[in-house]
Amino acid sequence: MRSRLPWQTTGATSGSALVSTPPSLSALRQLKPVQGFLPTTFLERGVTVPFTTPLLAGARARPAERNHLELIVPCPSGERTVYVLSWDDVVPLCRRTLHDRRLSGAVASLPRLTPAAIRRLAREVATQGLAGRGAAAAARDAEQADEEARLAAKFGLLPALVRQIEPQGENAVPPEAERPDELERRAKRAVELIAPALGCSPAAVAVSLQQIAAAFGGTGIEQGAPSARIPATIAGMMQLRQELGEHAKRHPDDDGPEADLVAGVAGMTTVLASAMLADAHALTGDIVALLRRWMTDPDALTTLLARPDWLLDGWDRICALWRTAESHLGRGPALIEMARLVPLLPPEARDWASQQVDVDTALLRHRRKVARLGDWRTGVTVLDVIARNETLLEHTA
Amino acid sequence: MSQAAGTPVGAASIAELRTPRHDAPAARDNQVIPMLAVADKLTARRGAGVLIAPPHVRLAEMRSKRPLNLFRLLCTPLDPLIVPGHAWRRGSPGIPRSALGPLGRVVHGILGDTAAGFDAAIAGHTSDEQDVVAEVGARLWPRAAEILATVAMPVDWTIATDLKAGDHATLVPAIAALLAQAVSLRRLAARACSGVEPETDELRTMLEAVVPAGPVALAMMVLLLMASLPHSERLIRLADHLASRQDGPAGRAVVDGAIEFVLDKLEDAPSPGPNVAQATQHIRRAAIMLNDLSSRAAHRPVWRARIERVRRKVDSACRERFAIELDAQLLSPAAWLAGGSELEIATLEATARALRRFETTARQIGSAEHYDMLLRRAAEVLRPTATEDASERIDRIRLMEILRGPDAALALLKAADA
Repeated sequence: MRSRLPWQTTGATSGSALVSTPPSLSALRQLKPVQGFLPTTFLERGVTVPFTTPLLAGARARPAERNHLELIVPCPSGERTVYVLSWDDVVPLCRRTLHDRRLSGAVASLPRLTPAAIRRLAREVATQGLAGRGAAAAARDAEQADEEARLAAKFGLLPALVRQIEPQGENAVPPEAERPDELERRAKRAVELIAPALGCSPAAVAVSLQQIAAAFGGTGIEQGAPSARIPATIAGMMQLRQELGEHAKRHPDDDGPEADLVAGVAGMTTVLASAMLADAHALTGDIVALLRRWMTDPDALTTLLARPDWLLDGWDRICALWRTAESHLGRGPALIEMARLVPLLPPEARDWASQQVDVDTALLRHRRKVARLGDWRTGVTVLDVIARNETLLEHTA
Repeated sequence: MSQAAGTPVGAASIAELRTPRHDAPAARDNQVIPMLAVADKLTARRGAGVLIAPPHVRLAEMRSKRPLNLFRLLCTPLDPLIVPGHAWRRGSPGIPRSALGPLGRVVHGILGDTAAGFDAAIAGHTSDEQDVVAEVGARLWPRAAEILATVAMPVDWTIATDLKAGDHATLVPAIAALLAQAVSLRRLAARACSGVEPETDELRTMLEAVVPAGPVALAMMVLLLMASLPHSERLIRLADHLASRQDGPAGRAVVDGAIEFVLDKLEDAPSPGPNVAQATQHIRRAAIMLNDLSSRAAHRPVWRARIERVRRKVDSACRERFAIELDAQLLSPAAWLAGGSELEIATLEATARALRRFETTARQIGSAEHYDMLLRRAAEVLRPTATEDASERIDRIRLMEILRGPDAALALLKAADA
């Protein structure tokens, strides 16, 4: 039998205690926080899990020893420290929402932890409705949008393939101006032409093309792909950075430091992400080489294309916190939370995009602030934060 | 954050807590907005006062959305102190509403051409636009403080206000001193909102700044700070210390006067009821205030008894109000849960959260077992039925999670899945 942890209570609890925050916070404070948490790799940084329980907001999952998982929980007091918990230790720590219990169970059974895998699972759980009808609808819409992005990527690859393979002068109509059915016909012919050089059947090339399109779903095939998720996130972060800059100028004494901090890290991250995105798009300049690379080592290419996803993981929540601040807790508390959640850039990022990144100094300068629950002024309760977190799911699905 | 005129510092009248809401907010807004529009066009406040008196609480609720004008902007920092003329008592730290019109006219007159600049800066804005209030107020309030610090009593003062000349000598320097501190007070309140409590030295500086304006000014500043800070205990200790150094009994009784003001308001006369969210806000303030005052009244049996009496009254009003609201706002509408639209379900969930906020706050005052019992009963009513589809079942389980917590909801979910 597990020994009783200090924060576990005995006996019946009152209705109010069922969702109250203080027991959870006091329980967390009895754990030893990790000061100066500086992960060296993105996997060590962990993947954001969109929990709705206030104490777990912004928490990240990462692999631990013996196929277990750990949860990295940002310190609720506003300090730049984290708590690292084994997956099972979260259960007595706080009363998780039903949604989080389902999500937590699903994440624990994941064979491989990636932002894409968590996103897929989170949508599956959200569609069950336990985070509200809005979150369920948003999850379904997001899945549909991703499917459309994959389709767009597929139809983005075909003109490049035709242009590269089709003998010059064979067709007067440029492939990008072709009707969809005619483009497919010409692409099919191009696949037949290139298959022998790749040492495989046309059917195998076609399958590879489908898989490549799926891998490019997040980044899109070319610059300015509006439906792809990664360019959209980068655009959202750039807008966030601009708005935070303006906010910091207007409120230098109040939320200025938090706004500057978030804007600064957002700026660095978007520079890196844009560079990675450009690298990904450059791969489509030579479709034959891309196909050959995919057929030789699909995992390596998938990993490469997933880098922006790792880099930007967690930022959609930060952007959504800002976008929804006015209708929930207000910009001041939102900025405190955003600053607390700003993802550290691990040194691994330098290898990914040869950019010098060091946000730690800025983070250490960050003044500690605490958004208090239960203040008479804000009147914010745990239930409000859960509702707000459920709304965030609608913006980040 | 401004409070409604006539709304006490951190306290709802018991009648406000007891009175349930009967109309949908939108419908009530539709009724009140045209009246406010007419009121805003009236130049004579007396006439407007008569017009808007019946929906006064709705007015309080919507005050933050009213068109911004120079007079309203001028009075914003004083809002927590303003009381109806008939309710004002000489020597109390309240400001009779009747005094504000003449003072506003004086300020406007002395501002002269400058007034047009202020009018232009706020034209088309409403009083809930905090950035505009802060920016233009930061220019207006210090200037108004300068004007009022030296102004002579208007000739029509006694006729226009029903006050005496001596009241002018007490009130106006105090108002001037408060307006001089309005920008600092606002900044402090904003920081308190984002979790940064003021340093003791900051509080002391603000209190000492109004001491020359007399004991009433000091009591007023104590009340304004009480209205701006999450807790008052440290402030009260500080004010006590400062008051003990004042000359004369009036100076030393400053904090007592402020506390009397708060307790009076807690037991105030009946008025129409606000909505649940507003009632919760009032209870929260009342609960915190009663706790803060209790600690100060430890050695004052008379005060302890009075605080306890107020607490019991508030508790009784809360229980009564919660039972009515739970049934009217949640359980009755939930009978038609099946087939509800996304918006209807979201509204029902928001109502459940609002009721939980009310209950969580009210149980700090007392009667925890009573609320537990009501919530258990509500949960029984909301239990899923065998004829409902999966979506409706999840809607009910979510309502259960809001009302009774995830463990109770999980038990229901398991039972439903089985």
